[in-house]
Amino acid sequence: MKTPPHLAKALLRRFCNIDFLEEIEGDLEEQFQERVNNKQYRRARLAYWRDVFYSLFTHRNRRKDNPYPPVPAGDILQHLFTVSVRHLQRNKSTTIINAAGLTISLACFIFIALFLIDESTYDTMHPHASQVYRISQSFHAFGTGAEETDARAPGLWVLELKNVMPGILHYTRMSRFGYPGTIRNEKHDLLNIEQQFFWVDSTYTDIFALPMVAGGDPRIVLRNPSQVIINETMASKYFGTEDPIGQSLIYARDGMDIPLVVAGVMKNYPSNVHFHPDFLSSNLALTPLWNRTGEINSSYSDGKDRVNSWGDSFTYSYVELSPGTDPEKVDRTLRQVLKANLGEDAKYVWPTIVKLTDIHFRGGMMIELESPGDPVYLYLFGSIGVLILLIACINYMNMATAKSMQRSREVGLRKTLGVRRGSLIVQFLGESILLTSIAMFLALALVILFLPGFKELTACTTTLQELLTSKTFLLLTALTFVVGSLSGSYPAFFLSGFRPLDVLKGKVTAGGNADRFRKGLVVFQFTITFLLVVGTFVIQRQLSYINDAKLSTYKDQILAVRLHGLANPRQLKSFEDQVRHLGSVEGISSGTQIPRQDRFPSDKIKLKVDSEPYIWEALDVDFDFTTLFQLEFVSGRNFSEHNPADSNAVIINEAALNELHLDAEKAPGLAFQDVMTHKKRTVIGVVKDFSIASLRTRIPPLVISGSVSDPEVMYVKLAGNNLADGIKSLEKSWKETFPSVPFNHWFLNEEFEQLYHQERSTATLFRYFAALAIFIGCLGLFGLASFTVEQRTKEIGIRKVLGATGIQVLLLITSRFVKLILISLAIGLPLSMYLMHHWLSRFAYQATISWFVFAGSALLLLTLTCLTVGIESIQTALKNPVEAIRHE
Amino acid sequence: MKGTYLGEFEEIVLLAVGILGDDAYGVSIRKEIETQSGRDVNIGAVHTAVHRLEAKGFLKSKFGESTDVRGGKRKRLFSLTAAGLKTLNGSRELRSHMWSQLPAVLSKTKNV
Repeated sequence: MKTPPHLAKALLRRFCNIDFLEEIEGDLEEQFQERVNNKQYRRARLAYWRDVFYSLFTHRNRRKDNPYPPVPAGDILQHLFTVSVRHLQRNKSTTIINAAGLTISLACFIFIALFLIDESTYDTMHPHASQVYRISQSFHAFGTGAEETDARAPGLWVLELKNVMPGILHYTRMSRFGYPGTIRNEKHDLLNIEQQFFWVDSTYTDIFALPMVAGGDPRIVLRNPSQVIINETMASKYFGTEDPIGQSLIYARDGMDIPLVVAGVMKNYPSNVHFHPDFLSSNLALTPLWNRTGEINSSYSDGKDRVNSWGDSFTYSYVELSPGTDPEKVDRTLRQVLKANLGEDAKYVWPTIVKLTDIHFRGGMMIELESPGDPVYLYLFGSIGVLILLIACINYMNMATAKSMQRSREVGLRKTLGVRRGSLIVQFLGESILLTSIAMFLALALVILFLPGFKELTACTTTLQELLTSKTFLLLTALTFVVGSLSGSYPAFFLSGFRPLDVLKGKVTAGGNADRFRKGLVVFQFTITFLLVVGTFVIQRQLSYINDAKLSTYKDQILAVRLHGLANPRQLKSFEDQVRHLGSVEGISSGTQIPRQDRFPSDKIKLKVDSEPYIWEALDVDFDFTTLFQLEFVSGRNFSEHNPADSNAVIINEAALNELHLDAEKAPGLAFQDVMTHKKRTVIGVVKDFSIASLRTRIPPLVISGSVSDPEVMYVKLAGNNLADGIKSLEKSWKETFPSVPFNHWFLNEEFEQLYHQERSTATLFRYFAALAIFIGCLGLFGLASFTVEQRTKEIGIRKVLGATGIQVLLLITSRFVKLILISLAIGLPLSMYLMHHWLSRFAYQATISWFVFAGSALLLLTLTCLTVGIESIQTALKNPVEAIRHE
Repeated sequence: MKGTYLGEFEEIVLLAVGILGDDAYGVSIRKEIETQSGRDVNIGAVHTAVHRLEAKGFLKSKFGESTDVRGGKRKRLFSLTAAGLKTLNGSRELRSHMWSQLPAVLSKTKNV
């Protein structure tokens, strides 16, 4: 049979008024066939075309002709909203579980994001941060020849660079000379050690932001050697509620006072800057110090200006390049400058140039201003945030697909009435986004509630005001959409895929693919949870291992008191003798400061044993040091008061012994030469290794000498349990001996804890996150279990009628979930072992992680699973089977 | 009232529908008009007319059966309504009333 032209027919169908289409199409077809029968095929085709055009003129589809105008979008939205809300209300437990999971995970995510943003935006507050570079001095280390970098550089480097290179727009230099300095406020009789006192160039504001609260133009203030700018914290510390402007402070250094007048108050710098000045003063104020000569202490410069010097690495130096200038060119120019001005010495030093915004993560420099950040923790927390969010999304997916039977009728009916699949997907996605929006509001409330605690934990200074910007809301809205779409994606495609006929006939059952998918998700969820739990345990164990390490055994009883620059060494001796008789004092010793911070260069001793050179760590203490810290002797003896030769004797540690390849017994009596002083030193004893710095690095070979001349810190071991009384009596004696010097003291364990501050706050955060992850995961399990129980109510009833006991029923349900958890453990175990090993390898001394950690974590998860599922199923297991079966 | 006016073509369509009785639909109406008057009418014109007449209330319609020759599409079968019949009657009466008043000469011519 011939057919009419397809194109004409398609045009007719597309454009003809739908109400008349059927009769018109039929009539045209009938006429066409009639004409064809009259052997006029070609004419029939032409006639058909003509008829189609005629029909389209008279019966074209006009909007106003449509008797079923499209429903206004507002009405559709309102309808869908009503349906969603009803659905959420009907399944209260599911809604609560999903909302709680999403709320908690979103709050976690926001906190982690805050932390990450803070860490990754270091130094961006400065106006031209991307054009600013810091110039540091690299050199071959004395003795070993290893390449090292001092974060500072000699002051004349950038000064000359600015003169010879047109691409340098600005430069500025600053130093923390005298670190830590002593500040006196005579009016209030206050005296404090201040670590963040910066001596700067007047060009400071050319490079760095300096938001002022009060006072004059910082450019003018910083040009005046008798003025100082302090930050808000210092203003209230020294002057309370008084107006700080015009008040005077005294910077005391080595018996010389520098009087300063407060001429400005600046805002505190936020946390994400690589230095935090409390005081800014012109480095011209230091000039009188340079003019002093011939004093006993080598820190005087014998008439040399240390700020403007070619060789004295003294100032942190920064330059701003004009846009488009290659930092490589700065390096080249500076090398030429050095060659021209240093002569032979230029061979041993060279510049290292680091972008301002990269300084925070650079690390590895000596005398860095603040501890560098560790990108590993960024990745760690970033992934934790995403994983926790995933766990909550998985909960939603699981619940939504598990409850799909309820929705299948709705889907079937909607489809029968002509709703397309696309609209159904939009409907279900909208539902999950609605729930996520509710969760987001709750999460914001949580964030606001817990922000102060979070700030304390991470030292992040973001305030609520900074958070409440339109940009944040935009990001949060985007986050809501992403999370909502993610959690709604699988359910939406799954639910909208139901075939209406199957659904309405009751052929669709929960199970099959969706069930397998759900199982997979649960396994994934619990693998993540297991990793977090193991991670928490491992970090905890490593930290307690560090805590238990040698030297810090009695750390919580040992009080450290700062001496340097404060107390007169001669008076100190009499003070020590006086205090020794106090009942609350068990022992007393003084020496160099421990623990040594990673970022400081340590004291080194260069020595020769049988003309073989060594460079070892040096620890200058008094004779009581080893007794006070209860160091264990491997061989030899301690320093003795009765042996005058002991002022030249030393004690070495096992690490040094190992380098010498000597037996412990042979070491005492060994003589070596101190290369710097040409003095002969004799080894009198060997002690076991103990830590004087962070355990991230290996314990170095160490030489302890008992001849400290100007001790930095006094260590007092307090007796008994009443430490507070001990400190009180100690302070009383101190005030009597040194009335004008503050009793600046701290417990040694605090100092050691600061070394591991990052690990400690990581551990705390990890603990919280792991607990929350477990909680959210269990919420999901609880929901799934209740769904399973609900579905199998009848089966359980019949089983019970046939004689199954309550325990058997319980096992029936829990075993299903326990199986899944076991699979998660099988995946998580090797993964966690690998990750743990990776993290621990950052420490030179690693806690041994026994199988117990893994077994314990696994057991914890299994127990929680059984509890969660058990609570839900025990009711059903104990129910009278009649109730389950009676209702049809 | 606009709806009560009946055009010439419309009148012919109404008559054709009446003549066809139970089998009045687009194609059959067109054929009827063609055979009765010899006018080659486009099917589209018929469709326009019947739909307008239906809107005026002179015709009513229902779907008939589908046939292969129509590509499986159903016919829309039209029939006269009481109003349609009344209007046709009114139209005829008007004409005969006016014819009766014509002078005899002219009426003779007509008869020739």
